[in-house]
Amino acid sequence: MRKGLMSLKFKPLITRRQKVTVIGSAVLLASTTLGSMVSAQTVRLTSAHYLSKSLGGGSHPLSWYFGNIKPYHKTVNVSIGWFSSLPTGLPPAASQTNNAYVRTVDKTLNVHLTWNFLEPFSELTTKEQLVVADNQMPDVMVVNQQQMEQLAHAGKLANLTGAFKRDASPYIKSLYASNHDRALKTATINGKLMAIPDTQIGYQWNLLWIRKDWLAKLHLQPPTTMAGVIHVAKEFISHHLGGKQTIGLVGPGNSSPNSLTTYNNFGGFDTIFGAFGAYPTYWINVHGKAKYGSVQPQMLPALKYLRAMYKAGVIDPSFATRTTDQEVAKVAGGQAGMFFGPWWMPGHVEQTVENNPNATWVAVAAPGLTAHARLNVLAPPWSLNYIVVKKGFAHPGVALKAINIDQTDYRGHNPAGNFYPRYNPGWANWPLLVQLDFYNSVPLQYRELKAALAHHSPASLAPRDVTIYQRILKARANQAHPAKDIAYWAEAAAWMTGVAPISANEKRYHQVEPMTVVLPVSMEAQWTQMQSLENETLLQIITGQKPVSAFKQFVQQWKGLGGTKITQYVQAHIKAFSK
Amino acid sequence: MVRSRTLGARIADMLIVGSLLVLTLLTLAPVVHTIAESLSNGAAAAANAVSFWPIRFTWSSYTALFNGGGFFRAFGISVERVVLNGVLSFFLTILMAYPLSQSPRNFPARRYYIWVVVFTMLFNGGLIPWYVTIAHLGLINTIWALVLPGAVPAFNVVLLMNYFRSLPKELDEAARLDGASPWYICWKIYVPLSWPALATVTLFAIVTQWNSFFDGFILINNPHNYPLMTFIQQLVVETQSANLSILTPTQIAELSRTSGPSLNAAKFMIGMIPMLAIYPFLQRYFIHGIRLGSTNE
Repeated sequence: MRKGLMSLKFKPLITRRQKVTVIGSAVLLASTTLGSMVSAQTVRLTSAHYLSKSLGGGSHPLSWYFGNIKPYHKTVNVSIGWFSSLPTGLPPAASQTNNAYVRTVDKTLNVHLTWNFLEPFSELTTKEQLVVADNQMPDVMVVNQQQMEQLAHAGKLANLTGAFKRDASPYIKSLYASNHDRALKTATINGKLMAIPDTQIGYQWNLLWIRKDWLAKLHLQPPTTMAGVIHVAKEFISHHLGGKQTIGLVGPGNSSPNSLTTYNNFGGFDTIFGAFGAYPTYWINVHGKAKYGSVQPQMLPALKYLRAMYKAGVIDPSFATRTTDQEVAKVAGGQAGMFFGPWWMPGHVEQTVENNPNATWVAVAAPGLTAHARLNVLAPPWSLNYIVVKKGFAHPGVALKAINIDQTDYRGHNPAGNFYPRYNPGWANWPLLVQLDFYNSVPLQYRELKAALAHHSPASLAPRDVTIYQRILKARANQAHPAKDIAYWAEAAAWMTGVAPISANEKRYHQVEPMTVVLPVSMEAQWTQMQSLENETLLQIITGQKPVSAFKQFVQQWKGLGGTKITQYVQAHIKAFSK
Repeated sequence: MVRSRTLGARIADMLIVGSLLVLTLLTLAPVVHTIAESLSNGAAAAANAVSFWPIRFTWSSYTALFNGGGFFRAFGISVERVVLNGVLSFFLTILMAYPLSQSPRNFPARRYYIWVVVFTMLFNGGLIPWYVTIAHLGLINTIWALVLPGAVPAFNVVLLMNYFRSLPKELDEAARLDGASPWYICWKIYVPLSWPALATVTLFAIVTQWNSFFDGFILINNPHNYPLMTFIQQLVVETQSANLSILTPTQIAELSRTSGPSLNAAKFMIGMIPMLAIYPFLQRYFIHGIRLGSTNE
């Protein structure tokens, strides 16, 4: 079959993520899968963000967590379309569709859950579009924002407004409230809640990770300014600390369409752009209107700065041609001294320590131009995955009731819900559960873990943090031989080394909210072309293949290719949502 | 051919043979690299440190693969689809190619049928109609969804048709004079004379089937029943694009351990074995068949 299945040309209406490289605990902002939301330009990290002052268990009765989990009188059959997850982390006999969590939901609510399809996340959107085209939409599915809006406009979704009020537990509501219900607003169309959104947590922006052992060798302090970063990189290189081909600072790798910024991912130059007030690839708020960050004038000085860094040999000379995996390999192989990445990075570069037991990492807030500069970072999209219920389904609250049970058990608030104490199951195993958490859970958990470690007692900790506490203790016991169980090292380093600079610099951080959008389906072809133009031009300017003046031409070209039209669409879309 | 025996000619010969040998060995390099990577320590492989010799030799990638039951189940499903499709497409391709190889005198509308066949090689209905058709035939989530849509590969039909047409017409005429039916002529004369072409198209069909992964994603509803290539693709993609919102830091670390470069290399090695086993048996026909099929009277 030469012209067979493989050659079927099909472009999903929207790709869930166009930039797919590294894994994290909240989704990187995909270039076309932007959530639509309306917001003030920036948010100071004030106490308003700390609606949840504590994650500690015990302050609420179990009923607060569970809310409404009353069984249905007659057994309700629920068909589901969901993503599959590997590895499951369950005992071999159990599976994602057949485990104690599924049985608990079935029994508690008197429902019978069946899965019409389980699809790897990468193919989920395609599969769902086909199933919907075939008129076989399951009762409950998880979709992305654009799909949710399309399905809602096509009248295929149940209105969940009443069900949410009635069935979501106080606990679930408090999770949304920790980010001012912003996630819910992205799912509210014409005043009706059309989906149950997940919540993306904050504080996943880039830090600067540095080889601590290299710093010590040269008697250097961690840099506090960008000039310091350049100095440290030059020292690393001139002393050949990673061999002859030592790399000072690795880059994000060329993973088109957007190479330069990688929110919540490996290697991006987000914070360098942020230092100049530039936010490439994001739809930002300029005087109340959504504008595309990559074509704003602030880009120019940022590009010049990166160009100078590149010319000085500070940035990996091959970063524009290597893939992200190859850049990570440079770190893992002990050839590179610094990289940008979020707090959970140790789990991603643990091989550095496995390959060289003397390697240690330290994280600092990615520096600005001066030591006390405001640190501009991007907020995540408020939500990326949406649980939708088919219109006409008799019990639209069923997903919420399942989530009440799942979330309580998953976070360990129900001691009887710990069915696999010796395993580490991923949350895809809890039926109908999506990521729900306090927006500020990362710094909160850190603060409580730190206090508990200081008092040598996990008694004050929320159940999920007790596990982390124990792993940190194990990692400390292994300190001389971290490779013995590298997982403990990675988790301890992520929490204690990674979150520390976030917590210490909280007042300096300045979150910029992307006015993210769903792009017009009809313009996807142009958009792809525009993105590759953007990616190529910006990389060529940084690597010196094009003069700085090429930026001006790029902006003109971008507008001509459809940028002006798309910007108008985006602004109109946002206006429609703000009604 | 007269061979030149001068020193210069010999040196030239040696150079040519030598460079060809180097090129041949070069094609082996990726395979050797993959073997080395699959037998290396995971951290070393992740650091891109492995070239052609394993670093910190270990079987752990292979033992990890064999311990998880999923791999062999997927392997079995792949074998099943290849066997079913191989047999089916063998017969169906012959049944289509033979009538199309007839002269316009025997088969006046032949030209239009060929146009239809060629049309399907150039254009297709798109993903949604393709999916809906298969769904309405009730094939979704069955092995037949993987086997039947590719059971009559148009390219193979054209290849075989051309081969049939290259056979001497006199054979066909003589058989007809002796009263042989078209059915008899097809199976007793054309097929036995066409083993090279048949081996070629069957090999094409088998390789395509074995390597297909996208249809598994779309037509099979549960990863539990994926064929091998879909299974492997899923693991590879999962590490690259895994849904960030469904994983915890611990899982990220876990995932990077269960699907690092060395484990992926081991998967590719095992995935290659059946094709490596089949190739030597069919390859001598393969080259022969393609060449003969390509010439037309």
